[in-house]
Amino acid sequence: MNTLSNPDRRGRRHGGSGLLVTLSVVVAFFIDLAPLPASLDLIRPDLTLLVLLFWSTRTYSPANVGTSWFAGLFKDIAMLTPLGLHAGVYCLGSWGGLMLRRRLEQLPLATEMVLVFVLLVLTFALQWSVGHLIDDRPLVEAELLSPLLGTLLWPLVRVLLAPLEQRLLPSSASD
Amino acid sequence: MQPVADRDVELFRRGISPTSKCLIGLSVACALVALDGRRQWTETARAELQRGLAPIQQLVALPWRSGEQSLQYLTLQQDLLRRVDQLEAENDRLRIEARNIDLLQQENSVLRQLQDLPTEGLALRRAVQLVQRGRDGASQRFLINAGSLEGLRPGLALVAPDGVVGQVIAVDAHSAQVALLSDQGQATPVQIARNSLRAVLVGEGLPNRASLRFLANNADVKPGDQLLTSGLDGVYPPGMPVATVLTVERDSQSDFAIVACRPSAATETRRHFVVVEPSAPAPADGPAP
Repeated sequence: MNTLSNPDRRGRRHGGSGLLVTLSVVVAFFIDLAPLPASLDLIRPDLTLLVLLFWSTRTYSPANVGTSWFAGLFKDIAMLTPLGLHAGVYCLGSWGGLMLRRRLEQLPLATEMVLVFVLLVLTFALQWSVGHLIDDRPLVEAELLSPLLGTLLWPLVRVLLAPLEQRLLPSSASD
Repeated sequence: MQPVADRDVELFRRGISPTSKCLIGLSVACALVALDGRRQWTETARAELQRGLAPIQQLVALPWRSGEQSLQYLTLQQDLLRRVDQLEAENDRLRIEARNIDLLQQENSVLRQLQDLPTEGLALRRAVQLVQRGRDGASQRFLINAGSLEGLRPGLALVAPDGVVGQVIAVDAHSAQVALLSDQGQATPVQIARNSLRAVLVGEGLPNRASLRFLANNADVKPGDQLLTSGLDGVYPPGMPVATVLTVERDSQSDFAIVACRPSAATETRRHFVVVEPSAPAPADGPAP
C-alpha cells in the first residue's frame, strides 16, 4: 500500500482514536501507580512501557517517540526516580518498537514475544545501569523476572488493545 | 518501490525521523538525569509537577485502599472480637505504663535540672498516611500526604509504634518525600541498647536492609542486639527502636566488622505514621534549691 496515498497513516485524522491511544497509555500508567506489596513491586512488569511498545509497533498508531518520552517523564515524577530515567528508557524502547513496525505485525505471536522480550530486557538493563551509575543501585534478583512477566503479558495487551487498533485503521485498510 | 515524487513529498511530510527524535529525547533525558538533584530548578520543576500528580496518585490508590478496607470488613466477627479483647487488654497495660512514664519523666526532668542538663523530649507534629512508594531499587523512599502547609519541613523524623521509619527529605505544599532507614546512604546515629555502644546505621538501598558502618572488628556486638537512636544528630529523638542486628561477620583482614541489620519499623505493611521532632531543650533553671 502506498503510504502517501493514505493521509491517515499517522492517525492525524483520527483525533478521537488518537485520544483513545493516549487514554490507554494513561490507564496503564495509573495501573502502574497502584500500590502493591514491596515484594510484588519488584517483579511488577512495566505496563506503561508495554502499551507504548504496542502502539509504537502498530502501523497506524499516532503514538511516537515523543509520546513515550513524556510518559516516561511523568513516570519519573510519580515514581520518585531521577528525572529523565524513565523518559530515556521509554524513548529508546519506543524507537526499538518503531524500527520493528510492520515487520512485527507479520510475524507469528511466539516470534513477536521473543522480540518484545529482547526489547524489555534491553530497556531493563539500561534502566538498571543508569540507576547503578547514579546512586550505586544494587541488583535485586527478583527484578529480573519483570521483563519475563512483561513478555507473558504481551498477548493480553494485544487482545485488549486490538479493538482500539481497529479504530485507527483507515477505511481503505480496514475494508 | 514508490515513485520519486511521492518519496520526496513523504520526506517533507514526515518531518524529523524517529531516530533523530530518539537521539534528541535521549540527550535531553541524559541532561535531566545529570542535573536532577544538582540544580534548584530541577527540584522546583519536580515539586510543581509532583503537586499536580499528587491528587491523581491519591485517587488511583483509592480503589485499592477501598478494596483492602472491604476485605477487612469481611474478616470473621470472632476474629474481630478477639482482637478487641486483645486491644482492650493492651490499652489497659499501656495506660498503666503511661502513668509510670509520666512519673519517670517528671523525675527525670527534675534530675536533669539538678545536673544542669537540657530536657529532651518528643514533639508529635501530625499523623500522616503513605501515598506512593518509590520504585527505584536503591531509592527506599515514599510519599506521604502532608506537606509544608501542614507544618512539615525537611529534617523531621517519621516514626511508627515499632520504631523509627525515616526522615523527611523534601516537602511540597501537601505532600512530602521520606527517605527510609534502608535508603541508600541514609545514615542514622544509633547505640546498642545492651551496652550503649555508639555506631552509625547506613541504608543498603534494599528493602529492610541496613548495616552498621565503621564498627571495630572487636566491637561488642552480636546478632539479636537492639539498636536505639542515640539522638546525637538532632533529627531522631533518643531512645527509639531503630533496628535489630541480624548477622556479624568479623574478617581478620579487615579493621571493621560487617554488621547486617533489619529496621524495626514494618514499613511494608504499615500505612500510617507520625511525624515527630525532638523538642527544643528546655532552658535549664539551674539546680533546684
